[in-house]
Amino acid sequence: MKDVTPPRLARALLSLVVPKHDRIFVLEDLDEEFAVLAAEGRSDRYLRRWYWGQVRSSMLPSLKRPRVPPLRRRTWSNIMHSVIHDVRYAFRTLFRQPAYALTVIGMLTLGIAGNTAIFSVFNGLFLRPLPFPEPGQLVNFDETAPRWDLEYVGMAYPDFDAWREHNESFQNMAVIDGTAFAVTLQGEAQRVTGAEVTHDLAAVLGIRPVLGRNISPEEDRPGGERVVMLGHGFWQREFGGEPDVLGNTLNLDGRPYTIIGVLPPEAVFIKDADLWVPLATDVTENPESWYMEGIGRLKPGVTIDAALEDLTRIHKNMIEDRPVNEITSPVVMPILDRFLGEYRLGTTAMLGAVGMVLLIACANIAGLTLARSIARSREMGIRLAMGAQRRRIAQQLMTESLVLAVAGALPGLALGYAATTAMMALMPDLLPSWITFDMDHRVVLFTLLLTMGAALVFALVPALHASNSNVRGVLQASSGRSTETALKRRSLSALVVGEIALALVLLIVTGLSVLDVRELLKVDPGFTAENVLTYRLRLPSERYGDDEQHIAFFAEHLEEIRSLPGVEAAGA
Amino acid sequence: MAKGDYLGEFEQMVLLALLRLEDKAYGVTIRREIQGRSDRRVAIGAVYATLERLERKGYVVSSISKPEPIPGGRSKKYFHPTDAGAEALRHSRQMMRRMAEGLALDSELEIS
Repeated sequence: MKDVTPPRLARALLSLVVPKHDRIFVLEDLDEEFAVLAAEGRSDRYLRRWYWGQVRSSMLPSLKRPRVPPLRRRTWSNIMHSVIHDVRYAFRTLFRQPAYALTVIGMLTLGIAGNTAIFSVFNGLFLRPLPFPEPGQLVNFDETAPRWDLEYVGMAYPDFDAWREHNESFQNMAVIDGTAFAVTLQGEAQRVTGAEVTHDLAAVLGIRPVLGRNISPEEDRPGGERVVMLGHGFWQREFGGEPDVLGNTLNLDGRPYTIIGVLPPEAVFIKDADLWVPLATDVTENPESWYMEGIGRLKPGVTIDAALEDLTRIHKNMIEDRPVNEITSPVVMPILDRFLGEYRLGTTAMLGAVGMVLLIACANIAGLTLARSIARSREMGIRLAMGAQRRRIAQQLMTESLVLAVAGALPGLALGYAATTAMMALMPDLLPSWITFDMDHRVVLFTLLLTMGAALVFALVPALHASNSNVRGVLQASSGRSTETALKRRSLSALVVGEIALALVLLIVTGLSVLDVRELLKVDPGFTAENVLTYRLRLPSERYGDDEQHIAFFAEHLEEIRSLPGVEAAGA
Repeated sequence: MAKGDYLGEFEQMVLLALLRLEDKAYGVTIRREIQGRSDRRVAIGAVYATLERLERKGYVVSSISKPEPIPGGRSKKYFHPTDAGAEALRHSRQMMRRMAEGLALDSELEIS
């Protein structure tokens, strides 16, 4: 083949007039067409004239062009392209350094798992609203007696009766007494938790029976009809959810009760009770017994303080007829505080602790990433020298961090969920059974924010460094120390110092709480608790009606127990 | 649309070429498309100058391809019209059509 290269002078001329940012494309486009024409067998003369013609007519338009390239428009497609590119690049570089990637992912997984687990608990306890209409109106009320050294003494029925009668703050008030029944089902006796409730409890909670009806005021009187409402779980378990249970009788402590209704699932909130029976008491019975718990629904707009003032007025007005009310006084509090208040401090402290663990993990990762970016500073220097925008490099580093964060968050979420389940399995009796710790949108959102936050925290320092690199410094310093790397080393030291500080705080806090627990364990109960077993027996009042029969039963029972091998002593 | 957004004749031709070539629009194909259809000599420098003007106005975006996977393979600069570019083109063409409306221009030209 003959000489098929474009005329050199013409090409040089063109390259002189076309702005730098487009030069290569213009020249190579023209080369391509030139080669096509040559391949078509055009004469040298034709080819040269064609090329010179192109150059000549390109001169003026090219000379008129601005010398700086147009700004890249931030169109969606451009952004998406760069994001996809960055994600791909991130995967490539991370796969090239699997040790770094795996270390970071592992640390993040642990950090995020801890946070997700504790947050699930916090969410289940305090953030998820109670499953009742207007849960904010529900309050717990009780009596307190500082003079007896008791924070809560329980409700006495005469006080409740007066409060219910005369208050101006509540829509409804109810009291409950938790109890247990010996239930005979298919010839087999079972111990079932239940609650004796006043008839208005369903109205207070705003629940409707899924089947049948609520307890009526007539049934809630001494000598009233014996009726029972079944808890939803109990109904499913023992009756297979059959609707024809209504009207059947259930044997509780040897007495027949007519089944009048089935409670909705959320009613387990009350004492985990599987059965509700009427309290059926009045002011004349046990006026000096404080044993019940109160649940009330405030009128819209009434504050807890106003309700307390209202009840205190009624309570103290009774002193003349009921002198003990001098000692006792009402307390009112949000329902969750009463049932879960003791967990709040613990879970909040745990949340703080796991947060700090994640922060330490982030500091660790930031240190690793920074060390890595020192190793990569040559790459960054070259990219900057070739005209990469600093913003793009920072974006690239952020993307790498985000990819790592997401890779750590997914297993973290799963591990956190498993940890929550395991934790709950370890302490089944500690929490009321109506509390669930399912993953909900709050937990996922929390983890998502946490991931973003973590990525931001551990990527910020390296990203800032990379985008502030000075090209010449980096390229010259590829072999050894320079001010550039010295600066990075200083940040690295700062990170390590911060990390140690955080770890120290965590250590101190953990140490203190361990001490607390030890103190608790050391409290001497006043007796030797080793090798002592306790249990409860409930005698059906039908067969063991009076005290004589009770005493006779236990005397015989204890004899039998004492005669067992391995029993040193027994008492009741 | 502002007055300054009116597209010149060559700008319209370049945008039309981009629409025709879809995702195969780079210097060579654009130049050939216009030259082939308009039957006039088109300089590569003029094509690039116009494309850059359109890009600055936001009517065109460019992207640089990866090098072709052959020895000595090169990167190409591809151009795509934006929605704003398509809208500006439509606007300019409508204006020309409205100017010509009712005139027996086309048929006269055909006769001559």
